[in-house]
Amino acid sequence: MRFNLANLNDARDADREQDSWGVNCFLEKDNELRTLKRPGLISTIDVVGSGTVGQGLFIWPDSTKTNPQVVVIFDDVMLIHEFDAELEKLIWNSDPEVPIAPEGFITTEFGWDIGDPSTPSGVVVESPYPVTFPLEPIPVGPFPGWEILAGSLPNSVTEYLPLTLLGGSLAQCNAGTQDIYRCSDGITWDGGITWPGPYYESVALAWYDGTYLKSVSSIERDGIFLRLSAASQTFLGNDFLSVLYPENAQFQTFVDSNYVYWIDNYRNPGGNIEIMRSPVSPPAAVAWSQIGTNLPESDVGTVGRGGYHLKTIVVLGSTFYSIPPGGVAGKKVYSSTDLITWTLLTSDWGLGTSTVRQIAQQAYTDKIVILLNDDNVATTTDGITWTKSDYITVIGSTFTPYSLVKFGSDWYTAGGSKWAKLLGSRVP
Amino acid sequence: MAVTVPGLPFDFIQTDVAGGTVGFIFKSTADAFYYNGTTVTKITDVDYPTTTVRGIAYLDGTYYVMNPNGEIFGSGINTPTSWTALNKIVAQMEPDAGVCLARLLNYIVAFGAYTTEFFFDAGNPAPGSPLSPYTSGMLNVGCAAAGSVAQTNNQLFFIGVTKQRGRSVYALTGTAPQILSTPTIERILNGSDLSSVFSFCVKISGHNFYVLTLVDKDITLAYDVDTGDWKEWTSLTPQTPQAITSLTYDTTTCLVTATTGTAHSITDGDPVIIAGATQTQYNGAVNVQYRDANTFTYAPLNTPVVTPATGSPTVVRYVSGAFIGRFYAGFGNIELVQDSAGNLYALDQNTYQDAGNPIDVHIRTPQVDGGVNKKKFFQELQVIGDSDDTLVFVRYSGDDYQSWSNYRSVDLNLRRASIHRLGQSRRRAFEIRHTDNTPLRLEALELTFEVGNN
Repeated sequence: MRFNLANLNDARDADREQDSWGVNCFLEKDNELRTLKRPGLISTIDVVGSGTVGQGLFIWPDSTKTNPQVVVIFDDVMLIHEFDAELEKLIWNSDPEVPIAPEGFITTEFGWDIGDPSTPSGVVVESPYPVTFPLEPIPVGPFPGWEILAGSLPNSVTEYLPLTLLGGSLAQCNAGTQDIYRCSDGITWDGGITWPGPYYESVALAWYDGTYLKSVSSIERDGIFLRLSAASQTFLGNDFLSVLYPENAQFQTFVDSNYVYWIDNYRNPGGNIEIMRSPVSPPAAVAWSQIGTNLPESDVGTVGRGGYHLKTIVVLGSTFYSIPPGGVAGKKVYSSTDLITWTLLTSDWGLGTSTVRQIAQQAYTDKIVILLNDDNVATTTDGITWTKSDYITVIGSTFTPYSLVKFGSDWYTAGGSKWAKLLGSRVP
Repeated sequence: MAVTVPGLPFDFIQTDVAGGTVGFIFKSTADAFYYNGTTVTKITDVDYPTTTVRGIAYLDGTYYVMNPNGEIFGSGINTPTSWTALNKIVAQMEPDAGVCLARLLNYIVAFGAYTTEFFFDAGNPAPGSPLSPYTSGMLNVGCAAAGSVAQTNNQLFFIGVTKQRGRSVYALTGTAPQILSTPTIERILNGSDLSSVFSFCVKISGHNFYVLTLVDKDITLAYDVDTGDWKEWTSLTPQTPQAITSLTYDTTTCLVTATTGTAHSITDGDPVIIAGATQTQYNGAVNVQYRDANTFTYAPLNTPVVTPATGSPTVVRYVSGAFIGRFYAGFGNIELVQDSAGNLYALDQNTYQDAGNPIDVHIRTPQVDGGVNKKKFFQELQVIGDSDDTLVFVRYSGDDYQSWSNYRSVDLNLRRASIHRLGQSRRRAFEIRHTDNTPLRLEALELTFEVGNN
């Protein structure tokens, strides 16, 4: 005897312990003989530990923006999140910074604490509930990555004049006046602050250590190390570099807590790849000294100009990682703790034909982040395992990125007068 | 203070794009705010009522709220922060209190304690209210709980109450009410104090659901608008891990016996998570068989080699309660719910867990006797449904649901998903349980039995 499982709920009393009863199921619409499991839930923005009273939810199809806004109220805090409408579905990790599934994600944007008595309307809050949930794998794609920002930069961003950070702002330098321009909101730039002089050839705002803006420049074979505040500069001195082609290695600089490093990343005919360093703080004068004479070659780069054997070195924690140029030129990654003895971590970092466009020289996060030639970014925490994004190409040939900096929770790149933004949540 | 009463639920309404007021209003019964895309402004106009009932409605450029006296206040045209004292009309066909305000079609719907009145935009000149009552549409059905009012398409759902009888769930299509609840559902409604009620409408898997949660009864009832069927929705909440004092594997029964130092509070068939055993074959998400207050058994996911297990094994059980979704918002393909703590979840028809926790499906049948009350000898029960790599658990009762057999597992991946030797009785009720992270679509049970002589 066959009997149907699709019965109406019909308990004889409120205890619901007798007669037919269904829990967490429903009858199929086109065939009511069938019973299905109800849809499940995917955790999205999780405020466990912070939220105690959920008070409402709304999706605002903001006509002024591409994406609808998800509005949440809990504990008398209204938060507005952005939903990526280019994606068909949204699935998130409990950490709003990290998408876990292929179709999309939302990010915490900002909100108001309407329970705050300071003003009748409450006070503005931003990212009020940082969460530290386990990270999940990056989604398969492709999905949107970079977004080209509106407007033009005040100065042309080139290989020698990249974007950098200056305190709480993005910053860039004018090639002629060397005035510093800043952007504190990721949208608008100020009118520039006057460079007090003297002037140096190809001053690059190389990095910001939290107190000083620092720059390494070259004049002939001088390696000039500048330490600057936002409104003034301190000339720390100069010293000759002994290596050939130093001017071509201008941007292969990096810094740890003690030294500034300068890499000659071409292997000279009959020579080696070399690295110089100078004490970073507080030197009375720049004093370059050579460390080692044979940095690891990434693979098959040609000797002399035009062939990188080593794109650059990035320091993460107390370990130095050599970053190859990628593609056919080299895929080997090495690590070292003293810049003298190097250990091969992998002969193929798994990024296929992608080549390196830019590298975030500062350890902004707990991982190394590089920008590839196809708009994608790749990250690693150990130099061995690299995770590459799968973005829809946006920058393409619109401009050549000459920078990669993290500002706030998001990433920026720029080239010429154009710039682009990558939500931190989209970085693998 | 920005909010005068903390912790209240908020209602939202988008402001008029065409009218130039981009943004949205969000209000509780004590406070209202307007967000214009840049800043939040609290509505502090002295003519905005100090206390309102739940709900806010928009009609022809005016935003409407209602106070507990049934007075409906209107804003200035497309100016949600500006209110005038004279833009007011009262729902007063009956002297009952206002409970909730909503909009349906071109009507402003004023739910009272035992009546419902409709208003339309009559274009009455300012400064008075543009609304006039739709006198022939008044209903002698009120709203028992403002939190029960939810809207989908062109229908309003709510728990209705009249002077004559108890509570029912109604749907308003136009001005015509229709009772949706069954006597079973109404027993549950009448047993609730309705002090805390949440509801929303959601369309998912091609079905429109009205989902109603009665907090005091810890129950969620989901009405399927398309099939007219009510089902209960629950959510499982994981509990603190409890230490297991011993885990032993029996090679004869192929079952693991777990013993806890204190009562485990696990019932037969419950899903649990075993963790912490050094021999990982013991660990995993399993369904248990109850043995006694401190002992349960389960089939391990992989065969242990070492017994007893070492390490520090623990068991996590779940407690079942009302569905965790309290508030809902949908747009395009987004289906979001918010729980009581403010956490957000996406409803997804291709997801078979609730944020990593099992969904506990129960299907309990009516009693089956084959049309004859003679004793039957049950030989086999087949579960007819979609094949999948999952187990369902079946138990049965032969004494009018008073007592049940232990659950027995049925593998839906087998060609014949069946169990045998089911004993004897005159009538049988069966219950199916499923908690795996897989789809489930069942059609029938096929019972093989012989009828005895008496």
